[in-house]
Amino acid sequence: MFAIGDFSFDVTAHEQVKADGGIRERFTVGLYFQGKPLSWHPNQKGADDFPGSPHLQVIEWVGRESVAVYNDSGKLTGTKRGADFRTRFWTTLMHLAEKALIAQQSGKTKAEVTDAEMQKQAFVAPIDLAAKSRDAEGKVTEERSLEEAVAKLTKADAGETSNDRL
Amino acid sequence: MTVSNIDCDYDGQVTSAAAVNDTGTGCGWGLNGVDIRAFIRFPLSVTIMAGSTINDVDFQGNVNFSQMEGTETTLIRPYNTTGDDDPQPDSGANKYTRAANGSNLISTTVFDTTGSKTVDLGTTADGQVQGNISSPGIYSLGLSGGGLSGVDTTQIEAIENAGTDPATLIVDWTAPAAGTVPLRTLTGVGA
Repeated sequence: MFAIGDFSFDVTAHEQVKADGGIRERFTVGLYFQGKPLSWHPNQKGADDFPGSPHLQVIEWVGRESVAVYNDSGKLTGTKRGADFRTRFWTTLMHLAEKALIAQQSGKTKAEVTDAEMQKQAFVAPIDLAAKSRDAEGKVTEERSLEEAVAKLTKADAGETSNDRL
Repeated sequence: MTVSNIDCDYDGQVTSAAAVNDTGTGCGWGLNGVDIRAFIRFPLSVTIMAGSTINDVDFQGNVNFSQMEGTETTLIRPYNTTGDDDPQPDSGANKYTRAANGSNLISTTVFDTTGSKTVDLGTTADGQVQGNISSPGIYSLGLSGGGLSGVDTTQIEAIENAGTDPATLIVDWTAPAAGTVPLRTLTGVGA
């Protein structure tokens, strides 16, 4: 369980798929606000990835397996992999979580939440990006750096799945 | 419902003199002696199942350089008014025109400062992306500046940059009722 302010995230599964030049990194993420499950899609009925558990969501990054890389002079210098989620993982989750919260609080669907409303919902508390494990009483039992948590997330090679509970 | 963060597979910038740079490490827009506009293409058909319902669309980019002040805005539009067209084969002149024709999806100041920025593109974009899933299978955007004077530019990390945070289209979608969401093979991504 990862805590950022009043939000907590439970990343329960990671799958990496490579095929036909593309790469896909998929995660199952549970969303909690102040310790209680929060629906990723408030006020919206639909084909949830996990029926009965609207606080669970499949979130994935999709890109090319190999992308040409250039320098500032326009010279090809090598390649990199796409769908590299590591620098975007938490900012994206926070954006999606904030939108879900605003939707919940305003009685809207996510699509109805405007960018102006998102910009008003700024953090007022320090962001704690440390990965914390908690026991049943919510007491922190282990603390890992974000880098260590991401390294664990990316340990699955192509074709393998990682269902470790973080 | 699945949320797919789709990397762009083609991006670049073009000036009012029709000079194109689509291999640069940055993808910028604004004013620097000439007007500069950006164009970005996202693949849809390899990620989203045909017949899916689009619930929400956001745009995310990592600003790594900005000279814009707080009142200057970024205008994001669907490329060539609908987002259906591929900027890659267009001439420089067409790229410049099509990056800023049609109505704004959003006018925002968030790209005035560095860092990862995410904006909601609104319900017009939601509908356009849904209409584009299978044909043409892409969605393209144009970015330009508003209220600019002097030297006012901003830039996001390009797909050609050695970094790890290119422009991303964050699409929240629901597969058609008759199907499930498989681990689909990806074909032709970025071909």
